Amino acid sequence: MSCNDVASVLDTHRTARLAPAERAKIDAHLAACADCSAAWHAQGELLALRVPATPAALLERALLASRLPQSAQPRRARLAAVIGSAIFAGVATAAVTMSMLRQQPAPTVSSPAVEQTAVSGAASAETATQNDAARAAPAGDGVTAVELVETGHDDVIPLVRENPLYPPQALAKGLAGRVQLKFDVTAAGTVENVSIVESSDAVFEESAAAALAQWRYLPRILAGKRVRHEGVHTIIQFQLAGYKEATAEPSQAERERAEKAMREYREYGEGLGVALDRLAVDDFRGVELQLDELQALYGTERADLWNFYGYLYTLEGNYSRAIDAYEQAVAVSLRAAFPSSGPVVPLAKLYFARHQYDMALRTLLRPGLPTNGAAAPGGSRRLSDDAMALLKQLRALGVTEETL
Amino acid sequence: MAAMTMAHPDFGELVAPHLTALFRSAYRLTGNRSDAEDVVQEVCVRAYTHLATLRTLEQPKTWLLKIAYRVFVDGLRRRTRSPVRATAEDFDSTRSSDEPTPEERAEAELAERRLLGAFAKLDREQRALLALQVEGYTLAELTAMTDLSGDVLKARLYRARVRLGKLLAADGKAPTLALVK
Repeated sequence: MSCNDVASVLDTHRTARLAPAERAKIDAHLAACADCSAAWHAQGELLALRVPATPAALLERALLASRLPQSAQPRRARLAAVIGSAIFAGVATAAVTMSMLRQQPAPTVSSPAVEQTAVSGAASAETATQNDAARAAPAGDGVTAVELVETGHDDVIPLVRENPLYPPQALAKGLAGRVQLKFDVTAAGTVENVSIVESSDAVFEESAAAALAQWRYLPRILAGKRVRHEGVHTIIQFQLAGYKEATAEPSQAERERAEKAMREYREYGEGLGVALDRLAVDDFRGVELQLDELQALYGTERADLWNFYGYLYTLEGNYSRAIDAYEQAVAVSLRAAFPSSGPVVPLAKLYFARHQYDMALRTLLRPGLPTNGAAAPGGSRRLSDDAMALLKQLRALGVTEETL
Repeated sequence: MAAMTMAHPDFGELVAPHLTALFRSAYRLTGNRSDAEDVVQEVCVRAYTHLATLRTLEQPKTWLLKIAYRVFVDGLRRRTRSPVRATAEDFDSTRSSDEPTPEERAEAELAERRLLGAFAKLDREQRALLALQVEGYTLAELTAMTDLSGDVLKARLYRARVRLGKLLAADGKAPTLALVK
């Protein structure tokens, strides 16, 4: 019996089918040969490894990936970089949601009329034109910005947002404003019971409430279950940023670019809606597939996709993957034009749950994200209720800035 | 949303019978489910670009595993999948069908983690060779998958096993369950 003979037995899968005499010879060789003994042992351990069943959705996923136009991905990713930072970065405290076209000349036919009405007062015919244009391209009119400020609850993350229509009467008067709304997020993530808390001008209320009613959120998780979340507040700001810059008639190319950006925005929102629908029926695997597909189409620089992954893995109890996903969300958010506090509290809570208290605190205080005040305008410290509660718990455990 | 082109509806039919074989090998290669799925996905993406070849093959399984071997040895470029890294925790989700006691499960998981930890220290080619060999493929099939000659293949398999066995033996002196948990 030689080393080659032992190797041959292993190579030909005969370890379990040896005659007693041959087995005895092998045992004798193994006792004398450290290498063969190690090899034999290693093979046994490898054979004992349990391999899980093939995931049910693997074929679907593999086929989907195979058929994606591979060359189309970089193009989409580039486009995503243009609109991604402005539109999709928006989670809780993100700022501008509709101003992605601000730097460009106004891309729709509405702008000359707007200029005129703003400067010389509204003639009724022009206002009518303006009405139609605003309705046809609610977010792409290039002259308005609607800002979202979410207060209080960092772990309520709006995923799908219908852009509010800028009320034509307000636009005609060059009026900016804000509406604070209160609403419930259902366990399925839909919005109910929208009410106006206050507004700068009643003219904005209907538009803000109508848009909000279409929004979809990731439902709050309490004790591992998705629950209804009542009394969520948000502020929608209507701004006329870039209003004056929009002077020239947009070129065909600019108009097409704006329309395309809007189409992508809508499709992306619809895709997230599908993921939320699957979440509502506990089809977690389906959610993951949908997120994978969205990421394939729209790239990895999307904080809300990472937030969704983190949320999903948290629900599944896979905390290490959840942490990885939320860390990605933080990293992406820090690179974005408008950093979002969305992943901060969930991530800190995950670290807390894993007794990594210093990491929990570091996450809450991480510079550059709005929740710790560093990036907030005016230097004001805006810690959410949830963040405050967590900080208190950490203090009670003796974990403070000084102990880091 | 993304319109799925169904130009080659038979691609799925060609791949489906070999999916489990692909996944099992990929799991052994990578040691966790999500990376294994990534490997299978990448194999399918590459196979799809050679659909004409795939249609003519008598042994598509060997050909697909050859791609899997290359994907793994060359290093998996993550394409569509989230770059969320799999960590040791992922192994926790591996469950066998029979219901072991919590202690047995913990012991088995510890053993698996030790094995996968040692396995991860081998170089990629060694891991790939062992994974495919342990999955039950013959030396002739492995030769076809790896383009290595029979003698080189045998020598590398042996060396890989010896190295893994020694890594495991060294690790065996490491803390036991009580100390780890």
